[in-house]
Amino acid sequence: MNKTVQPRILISSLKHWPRRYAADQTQARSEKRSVSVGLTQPPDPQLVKTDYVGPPDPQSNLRPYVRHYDENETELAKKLRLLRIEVEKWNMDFWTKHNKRFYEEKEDFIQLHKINGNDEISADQMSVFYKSFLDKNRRIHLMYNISWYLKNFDMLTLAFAVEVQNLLNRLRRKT
Amino acid sequence: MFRKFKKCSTFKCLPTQISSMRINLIQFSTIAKLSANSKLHMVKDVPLSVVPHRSRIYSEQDTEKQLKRPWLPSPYRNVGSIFNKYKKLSKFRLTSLVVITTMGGYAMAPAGFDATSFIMCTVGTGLVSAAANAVNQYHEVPFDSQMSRTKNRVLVTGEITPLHAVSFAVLSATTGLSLLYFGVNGLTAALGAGNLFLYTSIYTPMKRMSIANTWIGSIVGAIPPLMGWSGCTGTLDTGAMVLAGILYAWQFPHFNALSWNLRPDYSRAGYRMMAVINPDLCRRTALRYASAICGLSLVAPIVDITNYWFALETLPLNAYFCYLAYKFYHKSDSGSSRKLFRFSLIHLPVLMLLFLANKKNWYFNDTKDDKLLKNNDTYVSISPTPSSSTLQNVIPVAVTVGTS
Repeated sequence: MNKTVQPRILISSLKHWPRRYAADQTQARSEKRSVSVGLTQPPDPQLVKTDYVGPPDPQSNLRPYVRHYDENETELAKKLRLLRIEVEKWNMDFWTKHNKRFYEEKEDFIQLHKINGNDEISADQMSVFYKSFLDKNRRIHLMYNISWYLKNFDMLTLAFAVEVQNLLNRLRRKT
Repeated sequence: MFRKFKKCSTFKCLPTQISSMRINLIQFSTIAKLSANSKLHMVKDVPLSVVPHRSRIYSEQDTEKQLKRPWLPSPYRNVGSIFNKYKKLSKFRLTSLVVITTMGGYAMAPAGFDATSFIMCTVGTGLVSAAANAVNQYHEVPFDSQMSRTKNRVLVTGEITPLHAVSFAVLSATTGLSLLYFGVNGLTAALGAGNLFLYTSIYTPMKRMSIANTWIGSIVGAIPPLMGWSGCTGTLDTGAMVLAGILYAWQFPHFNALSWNLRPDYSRAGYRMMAVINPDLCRRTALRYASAICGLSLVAPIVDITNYWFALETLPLNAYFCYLAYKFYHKSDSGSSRKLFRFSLIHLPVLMLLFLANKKNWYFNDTKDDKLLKNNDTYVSISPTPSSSTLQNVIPVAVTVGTS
């Protein structure tokens, strides 16, 4: 019995592990799981250390971002932050208008059908509306697509440049 | 104002802390205005005018709902789950299905089983597929956020930055293509690169331009078994084309059934799919290609990749598939489309297994079997003919001549 007890105590004293008692185990585990850094309101960009992303906007379904910055922000990083803010604003603008148009036209279509006497609109009849909506917006979607791909690529290359710059600064500070 | 919230932000937001600041929350209720009902209008596609206008939080429930949708740091660096995020980014289940079809293609090819090239082929294909999916998700962030099926993707929720996702894709594609080129052969690597290009640069933009994207997407799905086949033999022949043809045909009932229930979402997000633009064509192609699968399965024994029992065994499987496609053609409602989609997910792996079980020749073994050598009286053992792996060209293989 001495043989089994002694090594256990020895190891824990060597490695400075805190003694874990069975009664405390479940408490510790559940506490760890529920820790999260969520905020209920959009934070001030100058007070936070990282970017924050919020819940989806109900009208545009896109998630708003808060881009942080501080005094040590470099030129490139500032350019990236302003570009991101601009693109996100443009995106949210487009989708808000687009979704509003969609719901309004859908309502009109449903009302038209109700006037004609049909109360129950089958999925196939709704398909007529969906097709007409897509056809009407074809050019707008195409233009948006091209613009979005170009802006996305711009953000990507700028983000890459900023990362490379950060890496070089970190290496320079170390040497 | 923000000094008060700073205290809240540094540790977990407990309801007890928030209730003391309820008045402040009520004043800043722009997000909470539609929070209770916004989910309703996104999922059920109810127009905005129907959503009641709420100017203040009525109950504890609303504050709880707001707590459940917090502002999180982006990227959310939770160290333990980066692998899970990569799995979501690479659409892990879809990639696994692609890898299974590649393994099927490799196993069905009429040449010896080489473990190294098999592993390199499957892992390489998996990596290339993961890269393609990551690039697709990078391109489609605003569209994915519009559709309820895809609004929880990692790039949409901001858990990963776009740069991170594209770096993952570039690394994964480079590793995958190198594995395919150096570990398997040039043809497989070329097919992999071609497939990657087809998916990211042709299929993804085309989804918003014309309904022909479904045909291109089906080609993308048909190439992995070709990669497996060429990984084994180094060439493509009629057997490979039959296998690829079956996979090409399978994509149609699978995708048309999937997209049938998502028509409102696809229309609002701006995707041009057959289900929205031409529902009649959608139903017809689902049925047409389901019967094409039947036909191709019957052709498989004729081109010598399987024995004739295969035709008999696949008949009930394909017949039920055709029956579900016919039900979908006739009824076209959410129930029949869901059944067809779910069965298509079972149909493909079972079909692959039946292919393997009924493979015509399993003794195409180029690996030197000692037992076989000992049993023969006079024999000449020669090096494996046109080796499909470029590695073998580097490592010298001994040529022996033996007599009894």
